[in-house]
Amino acid sequence: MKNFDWITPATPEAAVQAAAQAGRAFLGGGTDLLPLMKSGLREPTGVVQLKGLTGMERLELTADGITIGASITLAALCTDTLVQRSLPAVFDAARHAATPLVRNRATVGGNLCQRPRCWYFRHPDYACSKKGGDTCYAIEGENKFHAIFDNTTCNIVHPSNLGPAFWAHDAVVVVLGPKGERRIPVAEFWVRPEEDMRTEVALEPGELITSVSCKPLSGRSGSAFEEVNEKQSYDWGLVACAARLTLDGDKASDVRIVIGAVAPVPLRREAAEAVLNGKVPNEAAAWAAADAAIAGATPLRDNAYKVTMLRACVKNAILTAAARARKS
Amino acid sequence: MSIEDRKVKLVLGFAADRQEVELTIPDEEPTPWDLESKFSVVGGKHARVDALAKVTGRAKYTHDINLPGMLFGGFARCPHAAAEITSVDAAEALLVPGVKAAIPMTQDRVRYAGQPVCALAATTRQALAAGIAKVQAVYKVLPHAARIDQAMADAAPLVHRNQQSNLSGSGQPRNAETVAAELEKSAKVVRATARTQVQTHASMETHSSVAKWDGDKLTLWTSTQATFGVRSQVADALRIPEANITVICDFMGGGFGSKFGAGYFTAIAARLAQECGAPVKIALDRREEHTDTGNRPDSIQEMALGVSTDGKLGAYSVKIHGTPGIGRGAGARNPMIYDFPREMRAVAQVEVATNAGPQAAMRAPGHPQGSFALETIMDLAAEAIGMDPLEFRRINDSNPVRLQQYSDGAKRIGWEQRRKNGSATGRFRRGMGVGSSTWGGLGGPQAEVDCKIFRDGSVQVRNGAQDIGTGAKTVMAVVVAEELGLPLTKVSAFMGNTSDPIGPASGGSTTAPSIAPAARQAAYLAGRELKALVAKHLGVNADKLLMKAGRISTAEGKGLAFEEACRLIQSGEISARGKRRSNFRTYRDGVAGVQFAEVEVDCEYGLVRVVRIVALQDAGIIINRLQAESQVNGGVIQGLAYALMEERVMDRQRGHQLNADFEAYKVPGMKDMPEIECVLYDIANGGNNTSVCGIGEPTCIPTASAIAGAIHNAIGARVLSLPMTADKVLAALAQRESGK
Repeated sequence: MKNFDWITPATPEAAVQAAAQAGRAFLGGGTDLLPLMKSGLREPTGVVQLKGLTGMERLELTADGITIGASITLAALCTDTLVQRSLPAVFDAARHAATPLVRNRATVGGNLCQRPRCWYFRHPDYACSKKGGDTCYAIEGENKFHAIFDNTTCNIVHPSNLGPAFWAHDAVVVVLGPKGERRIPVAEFWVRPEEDMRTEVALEPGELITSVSCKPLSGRSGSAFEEVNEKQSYDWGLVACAARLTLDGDKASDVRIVIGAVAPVPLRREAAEAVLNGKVPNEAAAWAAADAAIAGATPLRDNAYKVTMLRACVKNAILTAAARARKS
Repeated sequence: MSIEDRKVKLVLGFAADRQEVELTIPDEEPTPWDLESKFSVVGGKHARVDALAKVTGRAKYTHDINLPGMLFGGFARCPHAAAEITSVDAAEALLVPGVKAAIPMTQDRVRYAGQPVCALAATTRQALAAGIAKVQAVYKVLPHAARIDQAMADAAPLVHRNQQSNLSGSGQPRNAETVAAELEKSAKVVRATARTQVQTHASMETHSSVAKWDGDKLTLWTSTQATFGVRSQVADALRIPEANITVICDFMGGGFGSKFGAGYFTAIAARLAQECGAPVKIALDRREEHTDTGNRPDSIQEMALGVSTDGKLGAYSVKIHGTPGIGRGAGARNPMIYDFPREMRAVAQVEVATNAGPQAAMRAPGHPQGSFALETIMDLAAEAIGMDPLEFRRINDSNPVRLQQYSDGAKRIGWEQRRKNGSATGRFRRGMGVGSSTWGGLGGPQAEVDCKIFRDGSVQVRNGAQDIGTGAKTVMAVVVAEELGLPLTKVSAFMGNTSDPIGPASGGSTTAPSIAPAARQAAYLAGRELKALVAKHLGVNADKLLMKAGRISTAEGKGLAFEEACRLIQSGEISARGKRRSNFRTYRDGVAGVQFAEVEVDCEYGLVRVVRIVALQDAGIIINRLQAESQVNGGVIQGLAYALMEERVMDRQRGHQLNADFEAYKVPGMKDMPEIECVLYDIANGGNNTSVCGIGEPTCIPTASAIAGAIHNAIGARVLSLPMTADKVLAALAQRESGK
């Protein structure tokens, strides 16, 4: 790791100003930045720490919905009763992430901005396309954990598990930059490798996420996040799904189905939503929606199992969301 | 028989199988413990003597050693799996501020990614990293074969220049023709190919050494499982007298077989320290630890087994391929258990050289891989003839201890509730499986222990070998406390400094059975001296004195408290040395173990949850029940990791290990743990004066096999390859579905 300046601003505006200088990086919990720096993947000249910045640790019901400050830790998120009651998918996702130790440090903003876990990307001796090279080694190489959708250019999977959960709750990502504040609907927050190979999120240089606003459940509705891991303590998802629905009588309406860990960015599955909308969300309907969710998968040599797994994962997320809606 | 020798009668074995033996033992040896022995300290549950130091951080490991003026050493490493080295130039590296020395590691060819090419020492870690980045190495990259399938392919690149093929091995095994003919005649023949993965040792504490010179004397702090081995290897490498070297390993953060040797880095640390005139620390990082410090070889085991209709084992042929990387020794032990007719086995072992770091002994070398394959064919054979797999093992296993373990374990796991293979339905399906193990672990010379009794009544026991974390130090203290009739708190134990008496390398589960008898003998001899003083003081016969409950007295109660007796010591201390004798007659020539597993398979995701493991293990007379159970737990956990998670992943394109970390190299955490029920057998095995046998290795052998059997039972399909991850379980389920 190389030496760097340590900058401790007091406000988000000051943080943005500090980061305007080239080569500087924001540090939330540091659970991703530090490993990136240790392995030489990032060598910032200055680190701007975001702890204690005004307004970035709030978690409250506002006119925008539930506003979650970007410096809120995953631990705070998954112990909050408002989140549990109104954003169950977000609650599930935060609780499922990493370990208690990591959750105590890792922040909402950092979770959305973390870099992919692809072992070629993370290996210092591979100049893969994401690092400016001209090859995606995962296409011919060891691709058990890689993408099964949209994977012709780069085979990373997006590692954020809050991402799909936020999307299921129609989140808006609020960012502050040199040119002021922007509000980015979560659907537009992700950047595909075909658009820009060097990033996964739609932040301009020097822009900082200050908060995320989510639409809380209302009426007879429920949401859930389901992730499958090889290991139950501290492991990245093999497949994930966030689902939300509202019950209109006994029929599902306003369905959201977002899948994660299967493509370079989280994917909303509108075809699957259409299958479920207007149907009683029972096991058969959930399987039918899941079939629609996996349609078009293009697995690689070693990850076809993820298609089978994703199908069940979508089904289970839907059934949990439906059960919660019935209880609400 | 010399005039001093005496005859003793012992009862060996265990309740269900008692054996009376008569021995002649020399005067300086205490009467060996046996089945009739009554203990007050031995066999209890004792926290390890250094538990407080460990949990408070007072225990200093090699990584914690920081000396004034100390430099940091490290390596520039080759980024290619196979290459010719054109040149290595450290001139620019030496210009980096803080870089003090560079030693090119002369060679002309690199055979695995991450092989060191140049060592450096610098004043800070940052300067070291900057220096490493400036080492100019020019390579001519060669084609590689980093994976076993690549190395076995036609026209594969040759890993070793001087060989015609990457494959070397035993060729046609003896009995091959007989076995082939017998298989033809067998009532039933079962065939299967089982595969196991490369597992790395993944010790929490990476390989590390600190070297410090005082004139021509060298002190080495090193994380090792062979303090005396390091001393002689470094003496050899540096051509200096062993007498000038002190090796210290006070605490050890895991070795599992990867830390027998001094390692290239220890001698390099000493050379860098010499060149710089300052102490040098080399501590490998996690990537280096995974790629360049050893691993358990993988295996491909093609088996054919003949079985009679009444379930007796017949002819057995096995062809085993395995890779030691660029090293040697990749054999899997198959078969190593069950009553195979002797002339009807044909076992071929083939080593496959690959462009990967050399293998190293790992916890029960050869056994877990052999066990997985063997128990697979056993389960498949039982299924083929419609026999319960436990019954099939019982009728093919004559070991009396395991027979006891089969029936005890079956009761504990609830085997009678086990359903027919594949009869469970629904998303979550449960199943049970069983696997067996055998191991030596008898120990032997060379081990010597000093026992000192001081005038203040305190007692010290010392040996220069290391406690690699198993609790050997505490074992010595327990044995000495028992012999002297004292509570454990009265005995201080020291290990891990070669200035103390010689001890074994911690391998083959031999540390405890080697040093415990020497410790007991030392305490016996020291106690005898003290008894002589008491006898003289009280005017009684020394032979009538017993050391019990903190007193030295006759059966009638005439005597002194231990502390009072110690005040009779004139010279300041009594000191005696015990020496490990060769083994006398044993009950069995090794230890026996059986494990049962119950799993629950999530058939939608292919995930396996291990619900329960019942581990039944013999380790001779148990000295410290708490630590013995801890060894069983540790073995089961490492076995579970081998069964379900751990696997070194090598990139077929460029030959790097892709998961040289603790993120994608998966080691189980708390939520992955089953309930582990540990059943220990106090077997008086004889062989040494304490009847202790090792327990470190055998406990990791059958876990994966038992889990594999349980998965088979749950889903009605066999996963033939380790680790049994969700993708493979889903594939097995799909194959079963399509076969219907």
